[in-house]
Amino acid sequence: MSGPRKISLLFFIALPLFAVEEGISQFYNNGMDAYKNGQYDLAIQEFEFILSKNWDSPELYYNLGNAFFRSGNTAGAVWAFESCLKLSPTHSDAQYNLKLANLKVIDRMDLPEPPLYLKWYLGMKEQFTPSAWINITLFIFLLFSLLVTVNRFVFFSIVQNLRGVILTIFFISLLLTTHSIWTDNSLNLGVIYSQKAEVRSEPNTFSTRLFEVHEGLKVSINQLENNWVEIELLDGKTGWISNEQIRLIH
Amino acid sequence: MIRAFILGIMSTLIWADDSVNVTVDRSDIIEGDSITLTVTASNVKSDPEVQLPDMPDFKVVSGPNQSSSTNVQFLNGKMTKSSTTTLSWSLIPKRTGQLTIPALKIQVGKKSYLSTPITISVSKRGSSQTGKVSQFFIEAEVDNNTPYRGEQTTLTYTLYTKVDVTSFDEDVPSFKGFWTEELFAPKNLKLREERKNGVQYYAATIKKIALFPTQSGKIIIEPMSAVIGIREKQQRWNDFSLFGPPSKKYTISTNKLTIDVRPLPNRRNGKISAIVGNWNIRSEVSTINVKQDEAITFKVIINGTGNLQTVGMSEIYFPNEIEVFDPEVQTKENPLRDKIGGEKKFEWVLIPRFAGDIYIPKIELNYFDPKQGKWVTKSTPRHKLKVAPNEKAALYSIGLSKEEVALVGQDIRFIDESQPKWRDRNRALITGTALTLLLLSGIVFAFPHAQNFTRQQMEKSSGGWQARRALNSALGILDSANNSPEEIYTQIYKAVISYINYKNGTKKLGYSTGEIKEIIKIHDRGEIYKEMEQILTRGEAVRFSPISSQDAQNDLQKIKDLLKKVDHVWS
Repeated sequence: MSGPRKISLLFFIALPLFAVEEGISQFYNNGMDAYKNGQYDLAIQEFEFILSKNWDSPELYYNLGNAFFRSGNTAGAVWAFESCLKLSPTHSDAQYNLKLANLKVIDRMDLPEPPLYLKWYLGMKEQFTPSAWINITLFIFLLFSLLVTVNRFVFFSIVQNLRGVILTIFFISLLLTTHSIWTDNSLNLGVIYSQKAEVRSEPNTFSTRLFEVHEGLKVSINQLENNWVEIELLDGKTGWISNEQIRLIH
Repeated sequence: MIRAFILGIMSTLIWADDSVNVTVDRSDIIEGDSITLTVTASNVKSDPEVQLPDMPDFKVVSGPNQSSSTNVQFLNGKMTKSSTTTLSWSLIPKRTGQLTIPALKIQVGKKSYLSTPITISVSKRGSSQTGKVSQFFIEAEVDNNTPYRGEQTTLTYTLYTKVDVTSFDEDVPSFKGFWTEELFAPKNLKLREERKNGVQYYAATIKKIALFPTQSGKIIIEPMSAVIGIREKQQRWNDFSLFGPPSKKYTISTNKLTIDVRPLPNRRNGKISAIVGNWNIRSEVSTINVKQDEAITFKVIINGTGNLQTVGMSEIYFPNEIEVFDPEVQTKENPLRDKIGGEKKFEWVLIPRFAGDIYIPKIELNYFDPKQGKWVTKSTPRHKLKVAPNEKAALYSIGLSKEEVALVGQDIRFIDESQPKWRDRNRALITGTALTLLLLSGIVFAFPHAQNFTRQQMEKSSGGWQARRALNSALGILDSANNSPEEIYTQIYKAVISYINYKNGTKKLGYSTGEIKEIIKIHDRGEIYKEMEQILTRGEAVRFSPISSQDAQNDLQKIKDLLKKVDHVWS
């Protein structure tokens, strides 16, 4: 196959992908224009459409959070900023706006300040997404492998010492990666989306009403059953709410 | 007053001395009147046992009432003894027309009797055909036969009488399908004159009950039965009583009513509720100028007519800037009324936690107005609270951290205008980059090992070739020896050294006989090494003690064989 023919084939394979991105970007730009014109509901509609097509990005979530915030939807804003931070944990604007949105949440709960070493460790872990951690760890492993190989041919003591340092960093990175993946897979989170939700002892409407939660509260999700979700608050309280009253953070 | 009731409608079961009779006091009655069914057993030795059959047309209001009497008579000097046992039931017909009391099975001792069925004619009250006029009766009436579900209909029980009533004891039915509330129940009956079905009566309201249907469709109100005491006329001179003329008790019942309850119509916007009646709603705020963190009261008052129990508040969404405490609810019912109603007051304590203009939303009341036959929505106005900032606002008290306090009054950061790098939400955790890195790492990590392995393999294969050459080389050395015994033993020694060096991959120049013996011993545990040792020892001694050429040739041949044997076992 000749060179130009190969290029044209690659172009046709990649064309649908470009077309999708083109269409998505069009909706995104419409949403951005709507936001700038103060049409926040329209902006939300455009951004949500992109999400419904299974495309996302930290920027999309961040701007959607702003549109929700401006339209007075605290729960939506909290959900969108949290989703943004899940993709990009170091997004400082999303962190700031989330704090502002959380000020409007009635049931705010904070865990006690962790010890310094744990705070440092968690801060480190949350610097990157699980996917990024995998890449980092593999990169360190590659570096270590290179040093091992070099060391076989060149007997520099500095290479020998560096090998030990890189190996230590690799194991720390591996621990953070494993923890990050484990947290990501086991800890499903959601945001209370209805203004007030009655939490019940069982997944049905005739069970005992345990307590109430209000919009914007971030909760852990223990399990799903039919149209009900078992939630757990930071203070350990658990109960069931209807799945219409919560939006999961993907 | 009261007719001579005993009509003697009876079916007599023939019995010479002892007899059993089944009788009713009347066979022609007006609806609501009761009849007494009596079983009389005369001159029987044991009490009769009666099991009433299933009577779908009658309701048993009392019974069985049992009485016994014994008479002793002296006639012509002869004593005659007779006894009578009576069982009686009070029955009220459930409908009008020709009704039948089925045959009764009576067991007296070992004898059993079967009566014949009795027909009772029940005519409608006030029907011209009968021309009969009740002396007293009670009537049930509702003011609305076709209410909507949840709408009040008032049920009134009225007593009509032409005779003196001494007592009245009613048995109100259970009102299935209704929520009820008693409106009127006098301790003493107040009589008024009233014309009913063309006949003048004294009438008295016995009871008034407000009924609120809880379901739609036809609902039956079962008849109310009552035991009424009627004063009897003094007929004989000896009917004298210290307590006035005697009275007789009768059981009567009202007519059965059927209410056709209309369902509430559907509403287009879906805002429906269980509230029916005519209601008003208003709201009050204790003050609209308030300081941050100061409490105010907010009241919603709903008043009107209808079932107050169903009046409630739909969920109110107060703004997040206000802390809301659970409301206090007060209910005040209207006294002395025919239409149930009243006032329900909901009072909240609100604490604005932020300064600025805060709006208490309007509150809607949705109800169905049966008079208009449609759904009505009334609402309170929206209240604007002007909340002045509290300089000493204890922000920490509502759970704000120091960092959060610094954020109060700040605005969110502007949108991110950079073009996003789109990501498929269903993308796997391990990306192409990760796979590439993993592959590269694997290659780099494995490279030295692979190299090492290759070298070892090469060395291994080289060693094997050398080992294969060992015997040939050794035999070559042995073949090059001439006839001199010294030369032969020198070549034997060289051949053995060469063989071992080739086999072990070593390049040693000399081994002692003991060393050679030990090396050979490792590979052969038999006798080879011993024979080899002997030959080598003779070789060492050849310089000092001459050995024949023939013997040397024999040793040469022997060592060749021994080396071949050793090579066979030395893998």
